[in-house]
Amino acid sequence: MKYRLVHRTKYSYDGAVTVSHHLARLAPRTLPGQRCPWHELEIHPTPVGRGVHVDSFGNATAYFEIEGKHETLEVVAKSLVEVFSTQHPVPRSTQPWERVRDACQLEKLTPGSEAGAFRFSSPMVPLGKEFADFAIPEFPPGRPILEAVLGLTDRIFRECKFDPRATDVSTPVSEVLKKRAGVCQDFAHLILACLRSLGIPCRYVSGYLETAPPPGMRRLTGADASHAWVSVYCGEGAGWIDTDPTNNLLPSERHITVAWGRDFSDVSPLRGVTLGAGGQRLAVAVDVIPVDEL
Amino acid sequence: MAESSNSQFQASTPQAVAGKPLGVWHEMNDARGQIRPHWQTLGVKIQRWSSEDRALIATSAERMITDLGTTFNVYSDVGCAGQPYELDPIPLLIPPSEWTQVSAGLEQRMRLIDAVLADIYGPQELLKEGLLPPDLVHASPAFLQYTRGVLPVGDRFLVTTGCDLVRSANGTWTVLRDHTSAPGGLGQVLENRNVTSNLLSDQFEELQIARLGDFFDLERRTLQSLLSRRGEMPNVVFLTPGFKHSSYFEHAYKARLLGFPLVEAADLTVRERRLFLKTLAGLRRIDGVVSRIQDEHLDPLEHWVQGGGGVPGIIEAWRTGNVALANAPGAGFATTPALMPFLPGICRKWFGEEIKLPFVETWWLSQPEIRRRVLDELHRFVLLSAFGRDELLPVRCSSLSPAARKQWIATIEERPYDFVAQLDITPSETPSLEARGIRQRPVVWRAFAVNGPEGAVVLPGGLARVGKTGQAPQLWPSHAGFTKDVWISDTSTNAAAKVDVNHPRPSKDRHPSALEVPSRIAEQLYWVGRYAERIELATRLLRVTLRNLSGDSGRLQQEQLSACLTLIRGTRLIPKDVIILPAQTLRTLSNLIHDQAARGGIPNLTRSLLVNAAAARDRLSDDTWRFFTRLEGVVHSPPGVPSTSELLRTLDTLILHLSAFAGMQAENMTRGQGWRFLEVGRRIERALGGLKLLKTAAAQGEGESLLLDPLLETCDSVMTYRRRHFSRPQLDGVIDLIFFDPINPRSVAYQFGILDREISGFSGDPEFGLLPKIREHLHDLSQRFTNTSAPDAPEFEKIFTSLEVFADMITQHYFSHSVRRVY
Repeated sequence: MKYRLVHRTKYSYDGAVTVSHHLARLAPRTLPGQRCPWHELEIHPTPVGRGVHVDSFGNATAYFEIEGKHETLEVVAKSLVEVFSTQHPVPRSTQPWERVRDACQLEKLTPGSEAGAFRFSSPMVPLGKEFADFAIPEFPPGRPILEAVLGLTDRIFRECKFDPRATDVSTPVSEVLKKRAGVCQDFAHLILACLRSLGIPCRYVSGYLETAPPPGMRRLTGADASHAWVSVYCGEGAGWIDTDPTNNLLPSERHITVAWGRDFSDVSPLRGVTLGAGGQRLAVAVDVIPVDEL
Repeated sequence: MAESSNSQFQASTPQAVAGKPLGVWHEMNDARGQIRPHWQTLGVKIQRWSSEDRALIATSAERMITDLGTTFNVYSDVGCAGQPYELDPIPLLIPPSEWTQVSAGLEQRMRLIDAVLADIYGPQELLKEGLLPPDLVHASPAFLQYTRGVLPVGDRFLVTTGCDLVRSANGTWTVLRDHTSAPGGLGQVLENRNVTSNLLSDQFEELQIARLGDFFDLERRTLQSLLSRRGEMPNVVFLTPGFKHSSYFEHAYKARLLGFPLVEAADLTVRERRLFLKTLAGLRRIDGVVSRIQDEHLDPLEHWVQGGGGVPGIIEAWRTGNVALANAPGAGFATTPALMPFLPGICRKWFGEEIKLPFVETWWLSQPEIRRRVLDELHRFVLLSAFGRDELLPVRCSSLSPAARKQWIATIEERPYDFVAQLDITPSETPSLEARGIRQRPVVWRAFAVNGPEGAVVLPGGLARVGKTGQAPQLWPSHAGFTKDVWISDTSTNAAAKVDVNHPRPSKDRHPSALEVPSRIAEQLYWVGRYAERIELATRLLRVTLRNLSGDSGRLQQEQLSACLTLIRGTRLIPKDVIILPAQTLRTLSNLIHDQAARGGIPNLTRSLLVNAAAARDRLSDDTWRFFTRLEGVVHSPPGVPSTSELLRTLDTLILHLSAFAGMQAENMTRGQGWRFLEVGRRIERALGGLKLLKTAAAQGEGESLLLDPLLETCDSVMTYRRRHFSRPQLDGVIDLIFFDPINPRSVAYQFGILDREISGFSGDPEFGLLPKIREHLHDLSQRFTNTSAPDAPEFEKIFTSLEVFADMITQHYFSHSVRRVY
């Protein structure tokens, strides 16, 4: 599938901001199953300092500063992306989950073994018995890893309610587990906490979801903003496989990957520090438009 | 893979110090009780000390430390941990031969750790070669993701490091812990050296103790060399978390020694990916930062933390090579004790050298084979947190109850990578001066190294930390207890040829930015001026009131007292609506002088004065600082309610202290922008005080009033009035003297004259355009003095309000009060 993406973010400040500094991770990644031939970042007012670097997870990261009084900031990320359909391995044929877990405890780093880095707690994903306990019914001894992961995805989807009012950006995962409610970011953090508490490497993925429902199919959640899901390491051969607990499915052609990291704090699409304003209002609009030609 | 971990266990064991107790090593005496050769001179001396000698030395040490101004317990209740800093004046002696060995070992260690950091933030060959387990890096929160792939400006991660050494039972100095992030204690080393070398000056000279100045010169030169822009002298600043930090005074001391301005995060800003210092004269480009801020609080843009202090964009400025940060962000990774057992292997493989300094037996418990062996004999170890995730650690395993032991083992099995076991070691003991005599106490030597242009150089000295007998050194709190100076005899060089660098001076080069004042410092000095003056007014007013409280209580005196209380209310020392019964007057006044809780009382004002002075510490001379520390003692509350005469004595002392400060300000402070703001604060406050008193007096009506005597006394103008009028004070005459008189240094007009002069020296910022308004406002206010008719109470109130507006304008124009948001 080919898409034209427009991600528009507008901050309106109460009072003038004199200086602001920002980091943006808004450029879709180029991957085996995804191509991004064109990307552009428009910023108003015009930044005085700007730079792009690739962070340690391979995400293109844009830095910019705005100087001089301003009361609004508008950032428009425009991209063209092509996503290819993915062949998922047969869940039943993947390795037993314990074998994947044990294979990550390496004495030395080998090509392809970087997965081990995603097994530990991270700023927004703590580990703990409560998460392992929640997950363990899906992880009986010897169960193929992808089957177990799908089972866990399904449980989170069924047991947790999508409710934007239940949480905010700083709600801890333990709270999400207790409330059994939240948004895509919370469900992603929850499944990460569960899998990592069992020793399975997994990472947070930020991106977009094409939501125009094909005839006769339900509309998927996560339409008007960025979306988040996770990627789980399923052992040699199967490799990293994405799963979307918010929609209970394995992402394919309709999920567009922008960035990944240990959790939201590594990949937040737009982060900023402003000097001078009181409050602020945020408006985000994302358009994912399927196109025929790139 | 078990083979590899196994071999590591065995390979490391000979390096590590075996845990068999051989008895305690005594620094001064050998096994037969004889004084060791290098202790002869000092050992004999301290053994001859009488109890009087000991008491004298202890008091002298205490006084010298107070005078250095490094202690400041007032902060213990402002929410900061200003620990009283205690010094044991008997130094730890290290013979030159041992020093040479340790120095060579530390040089190698610094080189090694720097290479490790460069690799894990770069190609990660160590992980691929299996010299360092990948999980040790991945599980560490101190390993920063956002600095991966960045080559630090200055080509090194480490500029200054610290290393804790203990002497094992066989007499070898062994590594207990590395400090690679922001090694604390160097300022304290100098403070200790100042005190100890003065107290024991004869021995210091006789033993030809190595001087420390060269090390600090090298550190300064290294920091200045990290980033040089062609043709310009590099600007380096010393970044402190602020005066609430427990080591703030050490930071101030060290910054002054290095000759770098002491700044806080809010003083810095990133523009166009370059770092700048906000000064009164505008933005000043900064090339290097000595950072004492923890990595996670350095840049709120890059590091996700709630609260968000720091300097947004500073990492980007560093990433793009526009500023040097020392030590480099992420260097704190090497502080984990989990790294220690892997260093010998890395050293052998990479450098082709054996590691020179042995280390206390230390194991990272992530490897199953090692974990099994350690858990088998857990009682030998102290359990440490590898990455600081377990707040209950460290614990001494031999003192765990069976239940607690079981629980810890379960936790270790659950997440073994979070734990390190280190041998429960007994450090050597050294003579220590205590109230009841000389005692033997365990000691840890913190050594320091600087990564200079020609390689690592080790400080010929250090900080000796003295612990409690019987307590494992891993459990000693890092910021409390006694410390000592470390003396190393330097017989290698000719003593006569040595330059005395015992009191190292800041750089002699006159740095252009040294004359510039960060805006925050200016603000703090402004408030120092205002609070000093506010305290003086309160003190004088309370003194005259108390005088009317003592002696016989005739009718006249009762009325005088009530007039004084009216003045006190007029200055808002006591709220207007509070009724004071005659029997409570003394208690009320006493509270204003001694009660910390009394709002607007002297202790409260003193606290505000000290907080502001502390934050501007590096701009105040040691003499001035001494005055501030003593001020605290004066208002310290005595037990019970003091008598009137005791209170009067306290107030007299306060007035003398405040006059001394004013004198120092007038005679000893350079007339820079900092002084100017201190002066402006003082003058504004004095004028406001005068106006409050005059307004209260004018409200009583014309002619004679009982208020006028105490008013004149509060304004220190009784003599002048008497000389001019030879009569009881009249309102007109008082207004003439306290409001209009241009030559009375206590009059409102006089303050305006000075304000006018100082404001004309302010540097302006055309962007805001407030400076012309400030001058205009002052000019309009000053016009009132050309009209000779006396103002009435409402007019005094109007002038007062207008002066407050003027003060606000200065604050707005010069001091940034913007709110910062992180999202």
